[in-house]
Amino acid sequence: MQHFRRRCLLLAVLLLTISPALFAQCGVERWSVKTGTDPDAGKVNLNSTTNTTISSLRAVPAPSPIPSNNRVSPTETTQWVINATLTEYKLESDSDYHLVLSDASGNTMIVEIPSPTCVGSGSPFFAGIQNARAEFDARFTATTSFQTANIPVQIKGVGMFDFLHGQTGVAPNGIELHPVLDVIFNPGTQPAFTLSASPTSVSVAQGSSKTTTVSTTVSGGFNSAISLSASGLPSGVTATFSPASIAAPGSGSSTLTFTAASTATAGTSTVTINASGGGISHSTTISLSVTSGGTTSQLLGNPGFENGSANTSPWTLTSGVINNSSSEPPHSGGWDAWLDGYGTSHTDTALQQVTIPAGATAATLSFFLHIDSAETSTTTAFDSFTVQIRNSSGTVLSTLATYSNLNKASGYQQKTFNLLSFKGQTIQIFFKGVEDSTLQTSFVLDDVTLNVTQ
Amino acid sequence: MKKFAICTLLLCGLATCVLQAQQTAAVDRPPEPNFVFDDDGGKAQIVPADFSTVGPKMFHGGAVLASAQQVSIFLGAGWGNQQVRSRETPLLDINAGSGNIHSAELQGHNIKTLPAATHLEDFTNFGSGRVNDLTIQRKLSDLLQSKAIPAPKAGTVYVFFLAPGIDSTLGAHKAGVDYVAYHNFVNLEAGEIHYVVVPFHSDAQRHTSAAARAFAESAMNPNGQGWF
Repeated sequence: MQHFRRRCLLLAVLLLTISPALFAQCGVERWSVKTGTDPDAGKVNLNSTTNTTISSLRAVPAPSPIPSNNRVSPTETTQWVINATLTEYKLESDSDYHLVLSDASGNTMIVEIPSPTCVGSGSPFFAGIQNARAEFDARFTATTSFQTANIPVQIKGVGMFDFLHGQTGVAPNGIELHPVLDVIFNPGTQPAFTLSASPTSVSVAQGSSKTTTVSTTVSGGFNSAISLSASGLPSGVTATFSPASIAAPGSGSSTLTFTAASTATAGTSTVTINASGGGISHSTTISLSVTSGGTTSQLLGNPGFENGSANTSPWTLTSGVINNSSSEPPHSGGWDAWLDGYGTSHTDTALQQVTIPAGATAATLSFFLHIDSAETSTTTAFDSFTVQIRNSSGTVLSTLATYSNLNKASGYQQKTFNLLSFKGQTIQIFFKGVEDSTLQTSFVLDDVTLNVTQ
Repeated sequence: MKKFAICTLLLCGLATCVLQAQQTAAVDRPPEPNFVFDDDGGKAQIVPADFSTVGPKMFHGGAVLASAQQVSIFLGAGWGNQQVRSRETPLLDINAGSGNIHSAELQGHNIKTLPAATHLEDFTNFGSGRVNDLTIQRKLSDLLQSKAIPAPKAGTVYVFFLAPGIDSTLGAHKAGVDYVAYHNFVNLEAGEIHYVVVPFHSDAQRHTSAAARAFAESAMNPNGQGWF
């Protein structure tokens, strides 16, 4: 009887433990991407991490449309590391732990830890999710109600753009780390360093050199020199760090120079930057494109709109776009293209048709964009600016980016896009600003260039 | 010995209920009246159980449907009962008829109400009787993939009428207690899908009213940033 009683008690405890799980359900929307069972999950390099910040991720333009079962590269194919403060957490009905992170400026974003029971066995993230869930459970008990916290955390996870639907703590562009693969509480108390590179995408022509900056920051009393090295270089390319290591205590930067011989293999490679010191190693990656050392030409006419309003050719523009008023000064020269800014329902467009030669080895669209807005929302894109590539009939071939009032900033920001995939085609470079019924947003465009190497 | 076993299991069941009740009771609500958090952390607008409203609607800058067309899905084994099934006809086009106050409201917001499209009877037997919003989203995904319901057009609103005996929940909220209907949206392969969920109500009049109001609110406020 004694044995029977023990078994009954054991059964009772077991039932109590598993009963919430009996009623747990898994999500639907982008669930494969959120848990790593999508066809692109293999593109995420789990052997590398990239340090970033909440504000950097919030600044990434949201894709449009968001694919339901595929990843948007590189944001959704990168394993990011963020240091921030955990401020809120909750158990969702889809079994996720919903965590709200905040930075020192009050910018927030969501990171989520799915339940391992909702992760397909083929997911490369399964072990990481299980690990993160256990790490969180060891510290907190998430319930169906938001609980507040105030604890520094280091979160490692994969980027994922969620649809905006009023989530607590959501970033304006919907970016999340989903799933989270590792959680470290109070990371500063352990000696540690972070590694980052800027820019993370470098293009070097055969027979020339290009640089990027590799930086390290230390925390938790880390005090050691950090040695740097690069691997995965394509044939004919060398990498040199100056200095070759970051001196103790380990915070600093080094200029990394890629030198491509004239015989270097053309193409794009992922170069891994390794950093080691104090018994700790980290790595990050850089996308390195080697282009043939051909001649580069700028193909767009009237790139800075300097022909003025009397002759806008070869641009096709809606009325009133060409501007030389001091209200919206140009990036350079005397004129710019000022789309919208009326504070009423309005659409402005600018397009130029161009042919990218079939023999092109590089084609880069670049422009400077300034956005100012009277909108005050930090969550809702009321007014938008879309950059598209269309064919000569006006059919959209690709939407390169969408910006909105949420991206307003002082000054101009340069945007660049690789158009090599359109070589051999006649395309329209198309900009469209759409403004809603109230509160103006101005999208000011200048110095639009298409540099083609062949 | 048997008594001990029964007592232990009863105790266990009671403790489980208490635990769940505590979790259910301690739920958050967004600041906007008549909104609740749904099953994956977003917000959904409900028709509260007492049908209360919150004064004149304000525009919040987001999308509003230009037209709205009902596609009905009668979900659950209970609709197979002839007496229950007789309730379907007046629900097939909930905004038909000029006397409908919600039709007038939609017209006032320049939203056209198109005649209802086809309907589907899905007599799935939900064993436990529990259906939450994720179940609805998964059902929508399945029905669209199998082409059992028409693909969405710009104004399509799928309206799920739940059979009697199905306990609907939305986040930590329960049908009958917290709401009589709600609307939400989800992004699937087919695009952004707008849908309404109407749990069964014993009072046919209130059943129809709840459906009509949730349908109208879905058209006026499809993404949570329209008129509400």
